[in-house]
Amino acid sequence: MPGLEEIAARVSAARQDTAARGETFYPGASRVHLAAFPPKERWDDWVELDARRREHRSMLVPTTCFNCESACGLLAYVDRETLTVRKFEGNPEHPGSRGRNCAKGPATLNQVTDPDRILAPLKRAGARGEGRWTQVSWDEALDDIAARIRAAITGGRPNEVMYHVGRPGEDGFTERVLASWGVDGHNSHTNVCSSGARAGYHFWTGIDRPSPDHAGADVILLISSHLEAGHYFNPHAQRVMDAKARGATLIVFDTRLSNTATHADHWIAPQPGSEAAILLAIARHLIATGRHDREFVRRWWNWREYLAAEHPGEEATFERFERILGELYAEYTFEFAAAESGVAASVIARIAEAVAGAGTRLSTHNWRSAAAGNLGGWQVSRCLFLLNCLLGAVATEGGTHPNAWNKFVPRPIHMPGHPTTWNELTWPVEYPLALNELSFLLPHFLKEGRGRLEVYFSRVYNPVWTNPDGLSWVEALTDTDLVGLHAALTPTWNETAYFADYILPMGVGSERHDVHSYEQYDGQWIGFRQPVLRAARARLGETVTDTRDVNPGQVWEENEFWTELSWRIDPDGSLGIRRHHESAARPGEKLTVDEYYGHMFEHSVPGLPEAAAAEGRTPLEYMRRYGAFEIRSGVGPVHEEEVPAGVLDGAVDDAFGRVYSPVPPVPGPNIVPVATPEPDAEGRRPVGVRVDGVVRRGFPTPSGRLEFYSRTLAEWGWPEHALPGYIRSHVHPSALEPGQKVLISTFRLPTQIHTRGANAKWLNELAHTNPLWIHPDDAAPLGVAMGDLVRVETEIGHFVLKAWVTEGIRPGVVACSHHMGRWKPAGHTDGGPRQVAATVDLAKAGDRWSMHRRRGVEPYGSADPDTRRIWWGDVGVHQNLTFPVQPDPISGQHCWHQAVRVRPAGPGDAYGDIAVDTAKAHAAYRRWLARTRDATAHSPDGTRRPYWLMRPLKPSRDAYLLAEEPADGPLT
Amino acid sequence: MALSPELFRALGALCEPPDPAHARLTEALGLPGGADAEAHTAVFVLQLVPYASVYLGPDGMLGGRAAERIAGFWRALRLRPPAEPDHLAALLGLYASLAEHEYAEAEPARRLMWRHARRTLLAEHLLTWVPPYAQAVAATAPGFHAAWARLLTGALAAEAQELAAPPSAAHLRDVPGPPRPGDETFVRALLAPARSGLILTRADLARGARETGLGPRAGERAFVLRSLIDQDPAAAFGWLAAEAAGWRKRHDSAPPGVPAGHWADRAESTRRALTDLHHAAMEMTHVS
Ligand code: SF4
Repeated sequence: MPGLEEIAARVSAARQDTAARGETFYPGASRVHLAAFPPKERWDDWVELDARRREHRSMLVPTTCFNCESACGLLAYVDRETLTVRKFEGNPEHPGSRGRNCAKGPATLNQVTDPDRILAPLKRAGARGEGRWTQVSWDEALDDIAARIRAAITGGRPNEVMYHVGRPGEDGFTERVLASWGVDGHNSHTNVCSSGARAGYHFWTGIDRPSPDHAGADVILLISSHLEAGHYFNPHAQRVMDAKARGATLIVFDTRLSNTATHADHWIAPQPGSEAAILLAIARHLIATGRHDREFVRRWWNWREYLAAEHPGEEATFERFERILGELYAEYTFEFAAAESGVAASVIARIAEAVAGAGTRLSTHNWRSAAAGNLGGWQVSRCLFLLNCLLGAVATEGGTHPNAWNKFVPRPIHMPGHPTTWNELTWPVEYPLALNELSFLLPHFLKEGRGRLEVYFSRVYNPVWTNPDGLSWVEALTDTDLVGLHAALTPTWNETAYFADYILPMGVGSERHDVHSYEQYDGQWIGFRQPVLRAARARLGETVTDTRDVNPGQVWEENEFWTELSWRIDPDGSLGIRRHHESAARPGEKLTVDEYYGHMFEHSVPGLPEAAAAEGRTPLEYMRRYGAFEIRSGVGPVHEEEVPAGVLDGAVDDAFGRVYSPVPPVPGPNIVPVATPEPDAEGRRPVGVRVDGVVRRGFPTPSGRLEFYSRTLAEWGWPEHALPGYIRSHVHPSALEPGQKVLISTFRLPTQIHTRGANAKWLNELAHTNPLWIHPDDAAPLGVAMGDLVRVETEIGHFVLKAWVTEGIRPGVVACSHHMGRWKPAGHTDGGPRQVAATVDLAKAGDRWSMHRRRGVEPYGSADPDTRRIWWGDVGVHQNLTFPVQPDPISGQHCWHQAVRVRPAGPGDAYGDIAVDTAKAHAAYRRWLARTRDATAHSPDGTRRPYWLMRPLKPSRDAYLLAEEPADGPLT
Repeated sequence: MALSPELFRALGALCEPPDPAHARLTEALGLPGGADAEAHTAVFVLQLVPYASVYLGPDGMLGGRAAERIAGFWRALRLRPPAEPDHLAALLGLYASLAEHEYAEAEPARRLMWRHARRTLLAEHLLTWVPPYAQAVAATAPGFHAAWARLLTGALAAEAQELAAPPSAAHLRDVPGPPRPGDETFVRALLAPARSGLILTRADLARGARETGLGPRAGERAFVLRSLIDQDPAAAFGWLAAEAAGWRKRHDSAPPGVPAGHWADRAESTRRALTDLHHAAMEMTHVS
């Protein structure tokens, strides 16, 4: 037997030999200190053994996950022999995700190999929605669509072209395509998602998202289930856990015991809609005990503007303001908050103390959740950020930053101008302050005759399933007078695609190009999404110029698609469209993705050309190889930066210290969207704000400061909400009828991807149903036990599902995840994700719809042997169909929470049953519409909307003017 | 001469779930055969989970103060504790990297600091439990794992001599007293290795049932042990006393450099208590 020293030496030598051969000695990333993670020097030829100890040589090619917004880095292991992807793992070079992913990232492989995916363009063969399809060429589809768009544009009907997006790809890409067509046709899903939270942040900072520095925080306050199901599932979750490992305190407000809540030091389950009341009680505590950062408030809040507007004639001192501030929130005692929320005053007091102790290391985040559930939900994020503003925890280490400072959107090669039209179908006059398009009201607007659509693109979006009131969508989409042509750009089958004229297959995360940047820590990075097989072939010396050549079947990517479509709309360039899609290097030729990204990385990403040159690569080669680049870290408080003297030549101050300069702006490389405060009467642009004599950059708000007081809200018809406040929700206990409960429907299953998961088999095996969470105290009086069928009745219909009796939900509240409940109409010969979609009978009698489940899912034979191993049959219930639209009159956000009645299912009820009355749905829409204060009556300046507010695809200024007598104005 | 740190990292990697890459490690270490998934599960999941806290904690359970103390050690080194800071693979990996830092350090004072950290890790968090743990593996597992356990003990013993690891350790100073008959936590204390000086696995209890002719009942170990005692206290205590005597001998034969005093003392106290109980039970049997 050899001695220990000899054995030890042998192990060392074996590791060195193995590493020298480019192979892995230790298995995967394990507890042995990541000793085995493939070093990037070996990404061209990496060797691994499979379970049978066979060698596999791979090229490791980075891309960016597309399965949620976080844009984590992925590394595709491309087999060198077969040139197929073997697996996806994390990309350690990505500064946001740092090599880590959630379950959905590696499941990209399932999407690539999905046996039910759409591999070629399809055109409907029968009536719309009948479910019969024929394969067509890309040319045929492109020519048909292009001709209709051209006719709409040249015929003076640009507003009949609409693009409706769910998961956006590259920031601003499609907006620029639409701008190049001169069309105000951008429509997003944001008003069913995050616009409530955005509005709250936007009114404070002129930037509509927060960037919490969780990793540096001492106290983290989440009104969302960020750790497992929020928008920043993995990049934020890992930083929250970093902070916890350092001893930070985690506070979670969630009516439901989420996975995030299980990690909290303080978890409270408030009455839905009472969150702002609790936050104001905490704010009152900070003010009353003098724990707020007085200097920060004095320097950065627009208190002078507030005093001038609301207390004219009184002394305008900070001390006076502080006294008023104390009085403003005096009523929000812990006892008041306790009465509203059902959370004990002593618990709220403890949380308030924890927040008070955080100082400038308080990171907070609200996304969806309460802001998306309630009437007035936008005040939740506004009140949450009030805590940061009180403590001075704004853009500090461990505080919350405005997202635009932690994000980098590189300027592209072409920047078309603003469209000159205004689309009332997406930006109706009743909602002048809505942060995003009133997308979910579209069917009602169409039915009311506010307009029609000649060409409607749904793009990685499934409004029939995702939006409330999906059957009104079905009614609009099946009416060919209202929607002339519907093209669904989607990688997978979905409930909206069933009602399309064309289905145009687009690649999944490893089959398309995009550049991304998101706020995940105090830094700026870009991530590159690319078709990994295209990049792999390029490494082997091949030239690929059309992504269809490497994608499965005829699956394409949108960048090339939009260029091609734009050329066909304007083949000779006479409409002025084509020039925005032409090569700069070879005028008269189409812009290629290589030129587009090559130009961007060369000219608009500081530091990237130098980093690439150091390795002897072009910037594009660098990004194709590593997939991500960090531009800056430790950005810090941008608002404190001094404005350079040169910019201040001829500058003037207004009465509150806003500084305007005649010096024209110099376009920078980062075109991240922020608000655009108005110039002064002489046309000088706002460049900063004077703070104690020094001109600093400040915030992109009209005042240049943090807007505690919103002059915009005051002037546009909502003076009672000009300050952060508490609005009682539409599901406040006082608004409920006896016997009604609140239904929470906004939460996700952390391993599902809305409907894009489709046949991601690993994910479907993990999560495939959505029972009704109900507390034992609520279930017992109904005689309902675990697994029993219950009927949930909403204002417009009902759905039937199984009960999940749990103490993880507040009594009086029930909850059902918005994931799951996928379906496919019986009789459709093609299509449908067979692992997750039940086969249903969908019937209509007058305005009454019914959906009845024929069968759930079952094993089936396919190219993937695993489809024979499907063991689940239950795929959940599509509750959103039974929800009326409930737009918040200010933010425009759909208020998801529902007032419902829960009963044991009756003898005629079966699992998955849905009943909906779309006449009632329309009546509900009218009732909510009546809450609005429209621009024609309330605009202070004859425009439709405050120009300074952010807006995707901003039209030119002239388009903002209200028509003297609107030809097809609001039908109220 | 100091051993290559790679030896410890490799030994640690082998208590991770089996992976094709283990073949190379096995070969380099000269271990017989290979570990299949079933054997791995039997040893590391079902019988002898490789976490320090189980063998050092007052209740013989995962986590708790012992795990926290080890996590504190990681933090003291300005390292973020991994999810399972007291897992043997993590500790051996850490040991290897501390040694690598030490050998790579040119500055003598810093080198000494790394060495001190490694010595502390060895004395406090490895030698306090790994030798009896490895003996339990060697005694119950088939060839591959038994050989792994012997190699591990040998390697640690060599390091203990090389570094002159001090015998006292905070973990063991804090352990509550040995199992006391009449105490209602007596059975739990027997199953807490640091208290009793014994490591009793599920397999050991099944063997005990066989050897005493008693009926094994399905359940957690405390339940199984209680049911053996309930069925026939004299037989059960007799068997347990013999086990304690066996463990006493094993501890006494610990290799040079491995401090085994605490373990031997505890096994002896436990043996005496069990012997008394056995005698008392015998008398009861005769009286009735
Ligand atoms: S959090 Fe998950 S789904 Fe989202 S980008 Fe990252 S890996 Fe993909």
